[in-house]
Parts: sequence; structure tokens; C-alpha cells
Amino acid sequence: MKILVCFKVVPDLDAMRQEDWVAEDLAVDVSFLPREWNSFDESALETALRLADASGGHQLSAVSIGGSLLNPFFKTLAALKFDEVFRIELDGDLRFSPGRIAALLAAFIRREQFDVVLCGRQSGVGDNAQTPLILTEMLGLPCITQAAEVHPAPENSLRVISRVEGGLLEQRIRPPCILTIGDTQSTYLRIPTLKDRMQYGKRPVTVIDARELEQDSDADSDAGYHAGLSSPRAQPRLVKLEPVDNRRAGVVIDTGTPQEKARLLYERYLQERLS
Amino acid sequence: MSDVSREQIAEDLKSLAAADRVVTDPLVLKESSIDRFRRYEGYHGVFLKPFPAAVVYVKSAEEVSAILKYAGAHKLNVVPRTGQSATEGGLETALENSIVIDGSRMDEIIKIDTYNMQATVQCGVPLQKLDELLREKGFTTGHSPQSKPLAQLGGLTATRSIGQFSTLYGGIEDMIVGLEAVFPNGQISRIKNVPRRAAGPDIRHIAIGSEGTLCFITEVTVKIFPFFPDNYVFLGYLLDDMDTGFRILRDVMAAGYKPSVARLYDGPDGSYHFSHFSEDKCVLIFVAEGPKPLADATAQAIRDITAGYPIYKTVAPKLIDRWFAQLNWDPSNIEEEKREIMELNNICNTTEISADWSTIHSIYEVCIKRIADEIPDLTLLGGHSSHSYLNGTNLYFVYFYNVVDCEPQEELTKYHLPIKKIIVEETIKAGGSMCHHHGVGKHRTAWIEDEYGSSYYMLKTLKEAFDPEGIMNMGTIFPLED
Repeated sequence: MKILVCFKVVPDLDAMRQEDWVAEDLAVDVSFLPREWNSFDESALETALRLADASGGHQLSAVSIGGSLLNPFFKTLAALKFDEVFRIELDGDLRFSPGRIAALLAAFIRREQFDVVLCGRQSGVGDNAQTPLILTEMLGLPCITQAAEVHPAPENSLRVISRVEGGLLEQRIRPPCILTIGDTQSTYLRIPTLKDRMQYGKRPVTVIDARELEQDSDADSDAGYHAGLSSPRAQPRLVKLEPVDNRRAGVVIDTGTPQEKARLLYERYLQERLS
Repeated sequence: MSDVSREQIAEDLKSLAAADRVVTDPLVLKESSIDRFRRYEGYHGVFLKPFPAAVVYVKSAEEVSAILKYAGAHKLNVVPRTGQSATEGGLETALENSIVIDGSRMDEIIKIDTYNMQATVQCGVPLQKLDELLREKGFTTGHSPQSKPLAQLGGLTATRSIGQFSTLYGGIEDMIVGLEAVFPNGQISRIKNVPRRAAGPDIRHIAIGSEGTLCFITEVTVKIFPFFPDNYVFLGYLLDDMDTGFRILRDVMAAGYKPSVARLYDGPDGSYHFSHFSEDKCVLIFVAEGPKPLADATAQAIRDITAGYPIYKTVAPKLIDRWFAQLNWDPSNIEEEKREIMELNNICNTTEISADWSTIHSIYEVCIKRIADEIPDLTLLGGHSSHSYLNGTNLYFVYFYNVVDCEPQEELTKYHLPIKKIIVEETIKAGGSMCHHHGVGKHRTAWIEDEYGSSYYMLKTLKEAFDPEGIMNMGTIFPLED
């Protein structure tokens, strides 16, 4: 099976200060922030590796869109023995452009012909949660959302467990397909050893010019419809940023012995909630 | 060997401190038998050290005195602690039926004296609390170890801690003006707060860095400094090699400049911290602070000195500024680290040493090579210098490894301790010190005589004089006898 993971590298917004959010024309500068895997994409990458661990014969690839800042992340994936890593070269602000991202990915996937495409369900930056679904529509492939586990199944199919309200949903799907990865049990990507970094980490990244893919995209039979999805006019525009006060009310129990404090906590706050 | 049972010890302690401050909850005892050195074992529920008989939360020097006299009478090991952020096994209860004396509830800020520029606090005052209070008044302790959100003044003093701004403000030993300590025979001694004196040896150093092996520190007075947050100047550079970085650091220090921060990261450690700009190069960072003319002049001097060296790239100050804001560890970092360790079976450990300018680079190179060649399953190996002096600097080796094919209790013997052994032995061989700022704890004691050489006589005599019954944090600094 040819498995592709689409991933995004995002700035660590926890490192922002309050004053960093105030910017002219809402052009918030995040260029000085450390970069990290988008958390759902990190889970998707680990899910792909676990699938490969569970059954051999898969070819693992990963793709992202951006500039050379992504290279350390590609090195890590190469060291983790992803067979091929692709960077779609495009500088620019894509935070609110799920249609354009999906169009580029769709053109790339058509070109390379993958059986299974894994995407994190959404990114913390932009928070659109649209890219995998638009991609699904553009490629005309079946999609399972909110996948938590992916296992090999007989007859070249996959067993996919998704979290749904009130429980887990288990489905079988035969590729080609798209899976969006939601809350998984394993949220971290495994870490390659130094020896694997030296042996595999220097494998080259295949860089693809975004303009080539956009030309391919224009040749798509549903080009008109897809162009509508990916056109600048379809992109949401950032009009306002407002801080959210995340504080919650609290009460400090500061009198009495530990036993008395525990009793007060139970009687006043826990008893009702637990009953 | 003690003549009392654990149950009797707990009962007896209730007559020496309030009963509700003597804790014998099995979970508390279990978790009090280790510190962060054995966190991998602890996260996996493996606790192999003897559980203490009780944890006593003391409220006064007099209580500490009574408990130490009791422990001495019954030859019971005592482990002093405050914020519990120790990383080198210093809080492990090495002997059966130990008593853990916890000073974290002695948390009164006794006096902030802004005219004489000193603050007096009890041992359990969290450093962050004191520093935040001082900053509201326009002052600072100048002390900012990575454990600042966790550590308390007693433990910081006992472990001879150092902070990120040490190049200007010094280590804790440069900040402590006076202190109060309780000795194993029950003696409560106060060292008065004076600017300096030449009335014999500096006895503050019997307590500072003693790691609970000589006394229990109950109160300290520290210097305070004016705080000038608006005058910070951040400088950052990318370099091709560590040798250039060490030479720049040396020149800045030898020329007499005092940036508060002077840090040099090698490529791997730099990439770990600064992946967004380091380009796999070495990263050199300075912060100049203080009164504006002084901060500006220091920054300009550093620019002038670095201009004489091959610099790969200059880094935007904002990149350094924002990184610093994320450096310290609070309980949420500890919790996140635990999740990562449990999920990935990958853990980070460190060993810190110091040496003079002539030897530091060769120590760095030989240790990195040997560790890479000899230790399996490494996922990151690097280091940084973070505290520089006129005559040398420190090196903080950082290593991550996947824990593979071994039980939780074998993690230390398979990975961390062999790495530590390489670093310690190579450093001592080169004439450096095996401990820069974490303390000896219980896992570098095998080399303590090598570390001290002929001066070990002086160190050992302190232990024999102050702790003749051998009750104070046994196995720490001084190896346990078989």
C-alpha cells in the first residue's frame, strides 16, 4: 500500500505574549516562534508508522507545504524511515486557505497515486478543520473522519476505529481512501535514534514547485468547481482578533486541618457532582 | 541500626511536631523515597529504595532541632527537603526507616529590606514567590534556575544552585548573606548578615552546598538587586563550531564584561531549543542588563568582541527574548514530560561539569565522541555552556535516549549512569569539576575522593565533626560504606 501523510508545521503559540497579538492590519508576526508538528498531524504520522509496523509491504511518504524551515522536520521523518518525503515549495500565508492547500495536495496525490492518505483533522493555527474534507471532495475518495486507530485488515483493507459521541465506531474500508486523524491514544511521534538520523536522515527531500501543481489542478476535469474552492475569493478574511479570558472562578479553602478542608471540598463542591 | 520500629518512629515524631504534620500515608512515603533522578522508575510504579518511616512537615527551627536530636539518639537517617526539585538522587532515602524532614511549610517572608538590599526568608519560601514580590517593588533576587517555579530557598542553598543570570549576579553562594541552620546535635546556629568579614573562615559554606549532609537550613538572607526589565539587550549569533564560541565567551569574561546571560549551545542542543532559526549551527546568546548605560555598554562590547570572530549569522533579538520566556519548568512541564516519557519511552537526562578555558573544549569533544560510540539508543546528544567565569565555564551535557529492551529499574544502569561515568571521569582526568550546579547527590559519590584529591580530608572532617552519628542524608556527597 502506498501511504501518504499530509502534515503541517505550526508556530508554538504558547510562546506568544499578550502584546505580540496586537499588530497593524492584523498581521500578527509569528516568525520568531519555535515550530512544532501540528498535533493531529503528529498523531497521523505516528499512526502511519504503527500501521507499517503491524504489516509489512507499505511504502510510507509524507508531504507538507512551505519553505526550507520545514527541513528539520523532514529529516526526522527520513530518519524514521519514511520512504519518500515531499515539500511543496510555497512561501506565503496559508493559514486561512484550506481550499488552496487542498487543491495543491489533490494535484500532488493524483500525480503520485497513493492508496491511503492520512491527514490530521485540523490545525491549531487557522483552526479551519476543512482541508481534509475539501481534499476528499476534490479527489472523490471515501473518507473516515476522527480516526483514532488504523489497523491492517484482510483483503487489503483497513480496520478504522473512530471516536464518536458516546463510544467507538469500527469500520472497514478498502483503499483508496482518506482518513482524518482525531484524538488518538498515542499523540506523540516516536523519536529516531542518532544512528538512524545519520543513516537515513540525510536522504533528500523532493521539492515540488507549487506552480506546477497549480497547472495540474487547472487541468482537472472539475477545475471550475475546484478553482472556486481554492480561489482567493473563497478564502475567509481575518477581520478581528480578540483575547479570550480563560480564567475560571475559584475558591480557596484556607482554614482548618487537611481533614476539614477535604470535608469542605467534598460537601460543598464534589458531593453534588458525584451523586 | 535503629532500635525503634517505623510505627514507633511515627508516633514519637507526633510528640515533636504537631500530629497532623507527621505523614505516614503509604503513597506519600513511596513517592518520598526518590527524586527526579529515578523518575523513569517512579512513573512506571517501581520504587526500590527503602520507604521512609514518616514525612514531617516542620514549622520551626526548634522542631527541626528536636527531631534531629531524636534521630541522633536512635541512629535514624534524616533526609531534609523543601521544593523537591532535586535531580541527582539527593532526596533518595538510602537507609531503612529514614525520616524525611520537609521544610516547605516554613514559608514566611520575614523581611524585605530595600535599604540594605537584602531579604530574609524561611527555607520553604518558593523562589518564584519571593522574586515576584521583589519585582513588584522594583527589585529581584537575580536568581533564576530552570526550577524557579518549583524550588524553595532552603533547597536552593543546600544544593548550591545557580541561575540563568549567574554571570552577572553569581550563584547562590554569592547571594547568601547569612543563614540559620540546625545541626544533628540539635544546635541552632545563626550566621549574621554582614557585608563581609575577615573573622576566620567563611562558615556560610558549611551549609551552602551541604546537600543536607551536615545540617538543616531553616532560614536564609539573600542579597537583592534593582530590577531593570526595560534595559535588557538580547544578542544572538550562529557559529560554525564550539571552539569559536568558547573563545568568544572567554574573551568577553576576560575583558571584564558581565552580561547576565552568556550561553553557548552546540548544534544538536541548539537545534533542540532553537529549531526555528539555528540551522544546525552552534548558538551563542548574551543578555546584557542593569542600569541602561551599563547594559548598553556591555552589549556594545560584546558586539565588538564577536566582530573579531567568524560569525555565521546574527540572530534577531526577539528570537532570544521569547525563548527565555519559555525556559523555566513549572508543574505543567513536569506533567507533560511524564506523558511523553510514558508514551515514547524516551527520556532526557543531563550531567553538568566545569573546567578552565584551556580544557573545556577538549572535555566537550572527548565526552561527545565517547558517549556516541559507547551508548546505545541515543536520540539526541549535545551540550551547552550556560555559566561563565573569569577562568572558565561550565558544560551541561544533554542526552535523550529511547529505553529499549530493559525493565524500568535498568534504565539508569543501562544508559544514564554509564553516560555520567564517561563525563565525570573525563572531566576529573582533565582537571575540571564533576559537578557544576546540580550537586553530588547519591550517584556521583564514587568519584568524590577523586574530585577533591588531598582536600578530601577537609570535606570528610566536616562530616565527621558535624554528623558523628551519621544521620544526615546518608549516601549523599559521601558514599555509603558497605
